Amino acid sequence: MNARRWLTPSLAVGLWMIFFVGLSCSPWRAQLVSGDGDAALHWKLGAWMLDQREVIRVDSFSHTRPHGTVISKEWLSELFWGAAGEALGWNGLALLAALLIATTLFLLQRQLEAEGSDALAATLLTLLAACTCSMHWLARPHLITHLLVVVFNWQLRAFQQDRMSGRMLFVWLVPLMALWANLHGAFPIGLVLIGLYLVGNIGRQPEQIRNMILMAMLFAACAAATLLNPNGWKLHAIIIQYLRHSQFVGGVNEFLPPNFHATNTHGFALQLLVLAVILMGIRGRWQRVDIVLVGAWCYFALHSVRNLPVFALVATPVLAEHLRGRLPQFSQRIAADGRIWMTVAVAAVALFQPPTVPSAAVFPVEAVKFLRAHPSAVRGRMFNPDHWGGYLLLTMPERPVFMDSRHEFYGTKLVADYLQVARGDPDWLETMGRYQVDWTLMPANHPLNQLLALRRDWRRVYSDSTATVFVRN
Amino acid sequence: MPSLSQWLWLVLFLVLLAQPWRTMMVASDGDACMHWRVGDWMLEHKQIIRHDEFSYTRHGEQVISKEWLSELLFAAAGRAGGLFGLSALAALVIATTFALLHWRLVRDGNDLLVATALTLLAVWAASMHWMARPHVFSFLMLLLWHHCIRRGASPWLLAVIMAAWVNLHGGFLAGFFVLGAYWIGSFRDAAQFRRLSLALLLCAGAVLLNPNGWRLPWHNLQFLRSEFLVNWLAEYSSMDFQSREARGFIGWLAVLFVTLAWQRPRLTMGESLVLVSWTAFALYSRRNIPLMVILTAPLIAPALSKAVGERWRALSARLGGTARGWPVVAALALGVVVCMAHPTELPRNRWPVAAVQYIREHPADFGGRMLNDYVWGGYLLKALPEHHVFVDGRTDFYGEALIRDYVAVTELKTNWLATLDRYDVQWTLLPRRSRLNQALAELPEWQRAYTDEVAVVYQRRLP
Repeated sequence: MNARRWLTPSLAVGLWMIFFVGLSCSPWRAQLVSGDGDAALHWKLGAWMLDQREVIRVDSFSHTRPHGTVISKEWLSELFWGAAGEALGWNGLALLAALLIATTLFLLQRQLEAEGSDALAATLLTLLAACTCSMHWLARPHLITHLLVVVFNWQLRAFQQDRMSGRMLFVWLVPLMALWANLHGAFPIGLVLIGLYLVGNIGRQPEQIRNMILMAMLFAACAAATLLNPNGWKLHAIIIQYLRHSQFVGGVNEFLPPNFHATNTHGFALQLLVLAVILMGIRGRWQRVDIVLVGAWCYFALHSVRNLPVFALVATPVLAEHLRGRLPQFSQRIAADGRIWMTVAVAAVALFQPPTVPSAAVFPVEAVKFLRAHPSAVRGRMFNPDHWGGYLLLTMPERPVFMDSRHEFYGTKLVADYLQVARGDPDWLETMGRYQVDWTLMPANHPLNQLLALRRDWRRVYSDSTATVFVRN
Repeated sequence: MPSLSQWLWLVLFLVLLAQPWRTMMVASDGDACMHWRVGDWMLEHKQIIRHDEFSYTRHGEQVISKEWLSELLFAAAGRAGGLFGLSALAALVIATTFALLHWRLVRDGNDLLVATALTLLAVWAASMHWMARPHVFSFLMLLLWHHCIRRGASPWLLAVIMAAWVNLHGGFLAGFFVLGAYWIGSFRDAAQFRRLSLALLLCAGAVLLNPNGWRLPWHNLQFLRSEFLVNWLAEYSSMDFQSREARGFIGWLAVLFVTLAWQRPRLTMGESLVLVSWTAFALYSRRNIPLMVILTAPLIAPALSKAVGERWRALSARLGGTARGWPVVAALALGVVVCMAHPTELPRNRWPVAAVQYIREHPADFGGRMLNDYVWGGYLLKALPEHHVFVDGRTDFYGEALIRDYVAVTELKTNWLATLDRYDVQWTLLPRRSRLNQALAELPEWQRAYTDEVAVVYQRRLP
C-alpha cells in the first residue's frame, strides 16, 4: 500500500510534472529564452563570473560605458543561469526556468492544501494563478522571486493563522531574505509583504498588538539581512534610483500598467472575476489582513504588469479560503504522493530535452551569422535596440553593444539619448554622431532604418525579415 | 436656501467654467472643434449631414452621423459663445449629471455626507474624460436610464429616453448592456422579467428612430469589432494607472473593494452583473470609467451609509437643505456666465495656431493636398476650412484602411513614401517631433516651409 502511494503522483506532483515537462520540452521552451534579451544577458554575466571567479564589478560588454561600475542586483542567480547555460546551452536556461516555474506552482498548491483546501480546488486555483503568471514566464532571475513570494506568504499566513510560532518565522524568513537580496533585485517585495501583514494587524486587541510588534521586528531583521550582499547599501540605493526614474520604468514594457486588450492579461482578468464573484456571491467575513494584501497587490498589479504574477501568488490563498467547501471534494478519494517522479523527470529532461533555439523571428539570428561570417562588413561602434543587447553580447562578444536592458547601469542620460535616436526625434543624427556610431543593427521594420535609407552617407549592408544592418560610408 | 445637491451643481458648473477646466475641455483633443464644425454645417445647410464635406481622402462618401442632435447643440453653443460656448454647454451637462447623481443618492435614503463624499469621488474619477464633446450627454442619459430601470419605470419611458439618446451620442449601446444585465437578473421575478423584456423590445425599436435607421447601431457595432481601431485610439485603451489622472479611479476601485469585502452588501443578481461588467469595461477602456462610476455609486452607497456612526448621521441631518433653491443657484450661475470675462483659446503651445495663421497669410504657397496630424484634424476643420484634411477624429468614418495608411506614413513603416505619393500629398502639417518631419528633411524634393516650437510644415518643391 505504501509503495503504491509512493509511486502514484498526487495532483500537486502531477501539476508539477505537467508544467516542468511541458515548459522544458514543448515549443514554449523557445519562448522562455526568446521573450527578451535578458536570458542571454544573465547567462553571459554568470558565465563571466564563473570564468573570472569573482562578482562582476566593472562592465566590459558595452562601448558606451566601458569599465563603468556595475552594481549587480542578482549575481547569485546569474551564477546559476551561467552554470546552466555553460553546461547545457539554451536548453539549460529553459530547464532551469521550467524547474522554477513548476516548483513555484507546486509550492502554491501545497500551501493551499496545507491551509485546508481540497486538492481539486487547489489545483484549479493554481491553474488560474498559472494563467496570470504565464505572461512573465521568461528564463530570468525574477522567477526566483516568484518562488520566494510563495514561501514568504505561506509562512506569514501560517503565523497569522496560528499554525507557526513567531520564532520559527524568524528562523525561516531572515536567512531567506538575505538569500533573496543576492538572488534578485525584487527582494523588497518580501519587505512589502511583511509590511502589509503589519498594517493588516493594526488594532487594539492583545493578539493584534503581539502580531504588530512581531511583524515590526521581523521587518527590521529582514531589512538588516538584505545588507548581506556584495554591494551593501549601494544595492538598495540603485534599486530606489531605478524605481524613481520614470525614464527607466516608463521605457520598460514590464513596468507599464496592464493593457487589458492584450491576451496576456486575460488570466489576471479572470482572477479579478473570481474575486468579484467571491465578494458578491459568497457570504463570510474577510480578515483585515486579507483585505490589505489583496487590495495592495491588486493596486501594484494595476500599476505595473510585472506585479501580476505576485498578485496571483498572494491572492490565490485568499480566494481559496473563501471557496473552501464550495467545490466538489476530491482529496479524500485517493492517497498519493509520487514525489519520486519529480527527480526522474528532471533527469529525463536533462538527458533527452529537444534542442532549444531562440526564435529567429525575435532575435537577429541570421544577421549575427552574417556579421560573424563577414567581420569586415562593419567596423567600429554599433547602435542596437536595448532588448537585443543581451542576445548580442552573448552571440557577438567581439562587438560591444550600445545598450542592453541594464538601464540602471547605463543611467538616465544615456537612456534618453538612446530613446531619442531610436524614436527618430529631432536631432537624432547629431546624438548618434556624438556616440560615434558607425553601424546599426535594428529590427527590420524600425523607422530608424527608413531614416538611414534616405541618407547618402549610410548604406544598407544586410537585411532580412527580422533585422537590418546599416553602415556609415 | 439651496440644498447640498444644488450647491454641488453650482460649484461644479463654476469650476468647469473657470480655468484651467474651460480650456482643457475644448483643448484635450480636436473633437470639440470637429463636432462644432459638423454641427455648424448642419445649421448652415438646415439638414443633417449625409456625405463628407471636410476631407479629401473620403470626400463625398456617406456619413453615418452618430450624434447629429448634440452636434447641433454644440454648434449653437459655439455660435453663441465660441469655444467658451462649447465649454459652457459641456459644463452644464456634466454639473447636472453629478448633481442629479447626488440628489438621487440622497433620495434613495443614503446618508447625506456619504452621498456627498461618494459623488465627489465620482467627480474626481470621471474627470479624466470631461471634454466638450457629445459623449457628455451619455453620462446624463445613463444616469437617467439606470435610475428609471431601478425604480421600475414604464418600458415606454425607457423607449422615449432611448429615442433621445440614440440621436445624441453613439454611447446609447451602454443602455442596452445595463438593461440586459437587469433583464438577466430578473429571471426569477416574472413581473419584472415581463417589464424588462417589453422594455428591451421597445428600446430596440426606438433605436431605429434616427436619420440612419438600422445602419447606425450596425455601424457602431462594426466599429467596436475593429481590433485595430479600438487598440489604436487612445481613449479606448486601458487606463494608465501610473498617470495622475488615474488617481480618482484608483480611489473609486479602492472604495468599491473595501465596501464589498468589509461591509458585504447584498446585491441583486442584476446589480451584481452591472457592477462586474462595468468594472470590466472600465478596466478595458478608459472612456468607460465615467459610466462605471455613475452606475456603481448607487449600488455601494447603502452599504457605506450603514457603516457610518451616529455622530456622522447627526451632522448629516443638520446639513440637509430644502429642494427649492434652484432659482437661487440658477440665477447665480446665469449671472456668472453673463458677467464673467470668458476668453477661451486653444493653447498655442500645443495647437498649431501660429502655423495656421502663417498658412492663411500665404494662401498661394499651400495648394494641393495636406497631410495633417490626426489629433489636429478637428481643429483644422474649424481653423482652415478652405483646406480639406487627410484625417480627423471621425475614426469610424475614415475606417481601418485609411487609418492604417495614416499610421504607415507618420510612423515611417516600410511603405510610407509610396503611401504618401498615392494620396498625392503636397504639403504636411505635423507636430515638431513627428518622425515624418525627420524623413522629409532628408528628401530633396521636399522643403521646410514653416517651423515653430509646435508645428512644422513641409511642402513639395515645385518642379
